[in-house]
Amino acid sequence: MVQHLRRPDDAAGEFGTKNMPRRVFLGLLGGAAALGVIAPGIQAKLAGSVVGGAVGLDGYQIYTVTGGIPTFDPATYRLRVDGMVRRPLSLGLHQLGALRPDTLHATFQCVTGWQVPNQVFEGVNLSRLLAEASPLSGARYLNFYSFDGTYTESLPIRVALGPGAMVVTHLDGKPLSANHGAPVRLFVDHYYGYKSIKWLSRIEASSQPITGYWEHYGYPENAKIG
Amino acid sequence: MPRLAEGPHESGWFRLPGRRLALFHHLTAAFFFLCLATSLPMFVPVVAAWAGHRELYRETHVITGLLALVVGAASLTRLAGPGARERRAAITAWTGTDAAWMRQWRRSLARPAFPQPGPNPGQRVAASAMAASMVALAASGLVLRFFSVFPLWMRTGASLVHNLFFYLLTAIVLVHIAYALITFVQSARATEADPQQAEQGL
Repeated sequence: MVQHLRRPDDAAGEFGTKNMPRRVFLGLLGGAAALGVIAPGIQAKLAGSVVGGAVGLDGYQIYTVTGGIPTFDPATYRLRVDGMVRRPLSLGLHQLGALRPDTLHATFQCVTGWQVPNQVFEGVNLSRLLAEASPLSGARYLNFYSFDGTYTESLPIRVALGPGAMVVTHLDGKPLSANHGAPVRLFVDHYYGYKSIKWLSRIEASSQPITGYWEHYGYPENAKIG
Repeated sequence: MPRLAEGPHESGWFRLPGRRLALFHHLTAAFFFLCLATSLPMFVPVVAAWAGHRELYRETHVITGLLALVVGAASLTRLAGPGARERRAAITAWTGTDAAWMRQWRRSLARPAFPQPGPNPGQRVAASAMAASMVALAASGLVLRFFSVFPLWMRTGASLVHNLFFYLLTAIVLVHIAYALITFVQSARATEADPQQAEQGL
């Protein structure tokens, strides 16, 4: 065996005398750097695959900050719109479902780099809910609360009045799943995903923003992409 | 903490030369598996939905990942026992004998006997691939952890690199463990068959 390993033509072939451990080390690091540079160009093709995002079927990574996914009772669930408004709202699932739906085609972009393109969000534009509730002139922000009891967010009211801010009830033609924030989540187009609070139960108009859950951990208050 | 005795002989299941080196190796493995375990509640949706507490898992993941890299690198220093220079040289050296060993290994995937002490060429190539993967994972992981100081294109790149090198490193480690288990079983059988010969490491 030993004699066989010391053949004179050992240096020939793909495992030749060039230092393989060093080549592997440097080659992999070089490959990682190259991959990092070309990633933005190939990201859309990889989205939804196990290398593009999460080990899941729809490409989303599931973020929940409490001990699992919160549950709700469809019979008693209410979405409240209150605070500095003239007409506070309290909408059950039937009332939300009876509203004319708005549709938004957009990319879900996480602040940590992964994205899920070509998503179809369906629900009610936030501007329509606000028009119904009629914010007072001093209201500058909307504060959002999840029924998980922990996740909170805020948005300037001028952003909430834009066409890309939606209270979402359906994703890709199906009712939201629990992982995606059922029964209602926020989606804010052109903003990083952490602004799109899940398991939404309350929208409060206020003169001041609250420090949202992720902002408390150092995420920027302004989550606009780009 | 008592000082660990150094010995010239192989020690433990995994036949690492020296107890302190074995300790560093097993500590690296422990941190790696903690890092791997805490990645599940972040990257596997069904586990994430069940476990929650993303912040807790994220911080543990980052800390254990960095510790695996640091302790793994420290095993090539004097901290892990005498002969550090020789260990480093043994990993990075490459000769025609090594190349022949690799060719023979590729034909059957069974390990040919290797005439020299220390890691065989396959283990050295695997160690290099693991080291590069750990560096790539640490660098991309730090971009993801401290994302606010990096532009989006770098975060996108880091996300992809982190995902791909996670698969690569996990695959290499699984193969490494498989070979270690085979060695363990073969060694146990050899001991059963001929205790005296097995004691001599043959």
